Amino acid sequence: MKSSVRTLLFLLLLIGGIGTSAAYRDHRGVRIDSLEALLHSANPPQGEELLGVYLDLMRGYPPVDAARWEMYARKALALSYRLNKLNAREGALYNLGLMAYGRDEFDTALGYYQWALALTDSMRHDKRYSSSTIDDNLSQLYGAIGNLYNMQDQLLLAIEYYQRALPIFERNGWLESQCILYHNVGELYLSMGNNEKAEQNYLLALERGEQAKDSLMMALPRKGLAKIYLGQEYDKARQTLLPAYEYYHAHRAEEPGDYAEILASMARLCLQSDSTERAKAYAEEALTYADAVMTEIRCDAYAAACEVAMAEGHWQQALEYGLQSVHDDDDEATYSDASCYVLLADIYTQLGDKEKARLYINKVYDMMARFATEHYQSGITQMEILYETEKKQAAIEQLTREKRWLTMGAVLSGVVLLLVALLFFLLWRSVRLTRRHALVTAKLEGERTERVRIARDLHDRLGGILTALRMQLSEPTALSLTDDAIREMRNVSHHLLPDSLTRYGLRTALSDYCQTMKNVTFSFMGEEQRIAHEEAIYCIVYELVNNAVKHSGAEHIRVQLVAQRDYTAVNVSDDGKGFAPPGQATADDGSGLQGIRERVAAIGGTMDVFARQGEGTEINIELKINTRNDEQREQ
Amino acid sequence: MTNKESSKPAVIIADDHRMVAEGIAHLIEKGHAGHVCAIASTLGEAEALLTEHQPDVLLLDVALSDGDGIDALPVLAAVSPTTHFVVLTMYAEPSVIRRALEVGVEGYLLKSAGVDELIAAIQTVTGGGTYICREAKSINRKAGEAPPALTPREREVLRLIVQGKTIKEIADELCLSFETIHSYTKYLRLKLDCNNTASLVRVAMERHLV
Repeated sequence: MKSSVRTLLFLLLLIGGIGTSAAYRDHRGVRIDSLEALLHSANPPQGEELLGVYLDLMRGYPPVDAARWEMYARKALALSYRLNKLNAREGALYNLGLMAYGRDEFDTALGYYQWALALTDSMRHDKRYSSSTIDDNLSQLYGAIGNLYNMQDQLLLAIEYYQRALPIFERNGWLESQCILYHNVGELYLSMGNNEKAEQNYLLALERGEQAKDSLMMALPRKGLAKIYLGQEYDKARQTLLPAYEYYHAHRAEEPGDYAEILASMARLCLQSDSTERAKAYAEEALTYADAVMTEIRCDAYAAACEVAMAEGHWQQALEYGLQSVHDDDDEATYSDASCYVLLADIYTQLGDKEKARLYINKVYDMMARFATEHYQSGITQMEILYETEKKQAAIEQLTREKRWLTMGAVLSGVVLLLVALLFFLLWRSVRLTRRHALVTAKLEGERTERVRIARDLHDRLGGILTALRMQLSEPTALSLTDDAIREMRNVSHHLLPDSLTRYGLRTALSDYCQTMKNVTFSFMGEEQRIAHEEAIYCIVYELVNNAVKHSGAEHIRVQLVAQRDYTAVNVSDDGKGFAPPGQATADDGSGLQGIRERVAAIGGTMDVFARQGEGTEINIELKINTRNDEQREQ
Repeated sequence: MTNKESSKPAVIIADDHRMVAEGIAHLIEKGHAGHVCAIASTLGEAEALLTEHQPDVLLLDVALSDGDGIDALPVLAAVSPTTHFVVLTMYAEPSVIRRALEVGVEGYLLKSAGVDELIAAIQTVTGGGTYICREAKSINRKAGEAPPALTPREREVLRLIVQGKTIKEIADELCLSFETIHSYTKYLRLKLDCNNTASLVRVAMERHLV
């Protein structure tokens, strides 16, 4: 829990631009030194203990020494391989990602994060790691990827990734993390000019902050809310702003950036109540704090000072402040620059410089065009919709379940005897069906385990011996026979269970398989990387393609995989001779399709065969994925 | 690298089959392609030996007991930046070859390759080039993924949609279930990036799909 709060605080640092790490620095410095001393002592730690020291050093160095941070991350990564510690490896990868991020190497960073995500995914199947460790890692990585997109100005993508962490926080009841997440999303929406969504998220953040009874978590969203209300309702703005001011005033040494933002808002509030004197005092104080912090906040403070100077009629000074309040480079301009442009246009008009005034008016128009696209303004991310729909679905299902019980009760009291008889019949039938289903499933599972074992054995044991044998031979015929044996062994072991399937998933494995077949093309559509029942689906497609190659006489076979969040579909089509549709067909509807049908049913899928004499065959398999159930199972 | 045999490249072999590694070492020495200074059987060992010897070439197996050689490559490259990496493996899957090349491997050899290819690989990478053995090259020639296209049945369903038929009518006409046709319209919308039936019809007409 602690580490995810820390991550998001880190995230907050980037968005809000404040430096709370100063408080940690001294304390951590001591720890680093003692750890270094331990490493170079007469009796240095070994094995897992050494890995622990590396990880502590890796986490301790970031604010102090980037080179050593990297060195210990790499050492931890290497040692994690030797000791087979997945969580340590994840930590090292995450840190390497952070380093790349710090160097602005975004692609590299994304690569490390995704590697870490895949690794975390594989930790699910490892009993050594608890679900809270996995949740911790996932939320940390989602936050990091969100930051990455945020820095590249892909704000909607950033929001989407931040929101992926939300179910995790809710599941674990991490209120502070939820609060920071909502606050960050609110900040992003605000910077896109979508006040409605920003307000919504700030309010949710405030609610979580109140639940957590955390004064910082309440002050944060209030700071954002106040900015929205300042332009609209004085009373609401005042009510929201004052408690936040109180908090940040008390903590102004630790959070100078946030305090500067609050002061700018206070200045604006005073301007609205016509107390220009006090507004000026706040604006000036904001400027003294703002110079030390990041651009966005400095702009905000200067804009407030500019507004105060305008209210006083000091146009020349207003101009100075106004010019400081906008980004030098138009490309970097954000939504808040637009309001500063308006101020500048106003000032230049007062100063009689029509040219300049017109220039800034045009800039406003440009900005409007940039930001007013419908997508940007009301951009609700897909994740949010999905998440909301899922929640509603759960509520509906709950209701249906309750209703079903009522109906059942009524029926029971009415026709008890009949029902008992019926139940017995149903029970008998379902036992028979379940038994059959269980048999098929058990058979498939047994088959799978056996496949894995044989494939590994072939590849690891026989492969090594064959290779060694090959090197002892000089007779050309013997050599070429050994080559054939190696190649054949490789094919057999690959077709039993391709390594790429377990490691990289169905898409890669199918692409590999189709690439090695002469007349088969593969295409993929969708967004899911890993899907359920990959091995079963692979075997099914393998057989379908084999069937088509052997029996259809097709010139071309096409395999398509669609992997969406809620369903997976595979389509195998060929231009071969086809066959008569079922009903008119003979007992064997196209070379062992019955067996495949059973496999599809065993994983809960449906299969449709579409064939006409002379018009090729098309087989479509679809698997609905109940995402909600999956999540429950993970808990 | 700085020892007496500096004229010949220093090589480390990382392979968990000791016999294989020794066999390869023997072939390299016999073919005067290089001087094998160490053999590692795990990634951990490889990292330690690389740090110690800083060799010119590392022959790296993919499936090692403590991890995947290609995954570990950035780590290995970090401890010995001047080393040229050659993957020596039994894996002929296109995705493995692609992944190896993506992380900056300079050579890819299948274990079924001949001694001539082994020697050529060492010479090429130490000369600054890239070497992919013949068999791996031929495997990697065909494209991995084709862009998604409409299947014959999707085309047929689309044609009937354009004719203004409902899902139920299409299902009846093609002797298929309602759910099946519903799924097909779902794939069509996904593939043609349409939100509703009306835009499906428009896209079908515009692109002459029916």
